[in-house]
Amino acid sequence: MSEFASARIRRMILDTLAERRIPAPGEHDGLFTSGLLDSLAATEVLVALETEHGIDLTDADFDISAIDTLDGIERLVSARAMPIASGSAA
Amino acid sequence: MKLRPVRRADIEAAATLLAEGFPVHARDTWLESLRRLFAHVEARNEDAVGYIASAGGADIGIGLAFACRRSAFTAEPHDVVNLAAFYLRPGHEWLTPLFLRRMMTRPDVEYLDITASDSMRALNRRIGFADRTAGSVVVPTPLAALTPAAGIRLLPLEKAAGLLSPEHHALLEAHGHLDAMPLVISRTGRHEPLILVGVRRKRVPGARVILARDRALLATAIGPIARYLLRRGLMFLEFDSPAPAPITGSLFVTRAAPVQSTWMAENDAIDHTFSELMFIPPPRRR
Repeated sequence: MSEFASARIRRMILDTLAERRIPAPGEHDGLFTSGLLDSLAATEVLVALETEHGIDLTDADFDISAIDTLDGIERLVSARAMPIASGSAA
Repeated sequence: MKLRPVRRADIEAAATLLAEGFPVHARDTWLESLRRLFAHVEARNEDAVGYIASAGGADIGIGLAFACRRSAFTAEPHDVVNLAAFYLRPGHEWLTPLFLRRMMTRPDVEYLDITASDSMRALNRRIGFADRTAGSVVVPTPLAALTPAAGIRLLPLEKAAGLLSPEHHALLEAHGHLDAMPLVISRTGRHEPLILVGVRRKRVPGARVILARDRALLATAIGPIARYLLRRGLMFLEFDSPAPAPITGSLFVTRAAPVQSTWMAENDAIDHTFSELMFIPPPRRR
């Protein structure tokens, strides 16, 4: 089992790059701003974030720059997967 | 990336971005299109015709989005939002899907893209659009004009008082004011609205169907329609279609952008009323 919360998205990105004979990027390398991946690949990542991880893309606070690196995507998905701290109602 | 609505105060910035992204039209042409669009949305008590995207304090792109109420051939009138003229400056193209996603926030409306580029079509299909047509039927009018009328007459709207419902009459009248050709197909006591607008293909003038009950009616009435257009120097009729049409001499051009929509087609009607086709001049196809 993968250690990454974003394992499927990560696999999708790495497969896309491999198909284009582009070496796997580092965790902090730009994926989209560098031109490695295009808007169609960005669409796939965003659709996956929305449908598989429930991330609200229409939220004005959603920072798109988070998906520009593998590390950023992992952080985004991990944060989403973290249980919300429970507290008693006042 | 931040989005802000394109309001009257943003018209200069919007025209600059549009002319940069779509240099097929001069900036003044875009300004005129924006003014026409503002007149349209303000009649609906709305104030924006799309969104400008910014990042790092600078404008990076634009997308037009404007609504109209469709009721001509639908069981239930509904709002349609036409997405058009989408542009992000070089280096920011990858933000396209998020920009689109944030423009498409209303679940109760149909989103429509009539003129998407190849890359936009693929992207649209991933975010909920489906192709509703496969190409354009192009009918050369000189040949089609020889088709018998079969009891069908084509009347300009001004000679068809009282023949249409008040709603259809008002719709045609409004499109007459937008430089379209508002017409009525009359056959054995039945009267159907028809709206055409002038277009060009390879510099040849023709007309495109904006509103028609269905494609079969266009095929049936092709003789009178072709003669009407030919008398005005218009050499072809075109309409989008999911398949070739049974019209002698017609072509089916599949390189034309398909009509893409987020809703299933309710019937075979063509309804591009108050769409970009009425506000933005078509690029000259070579």
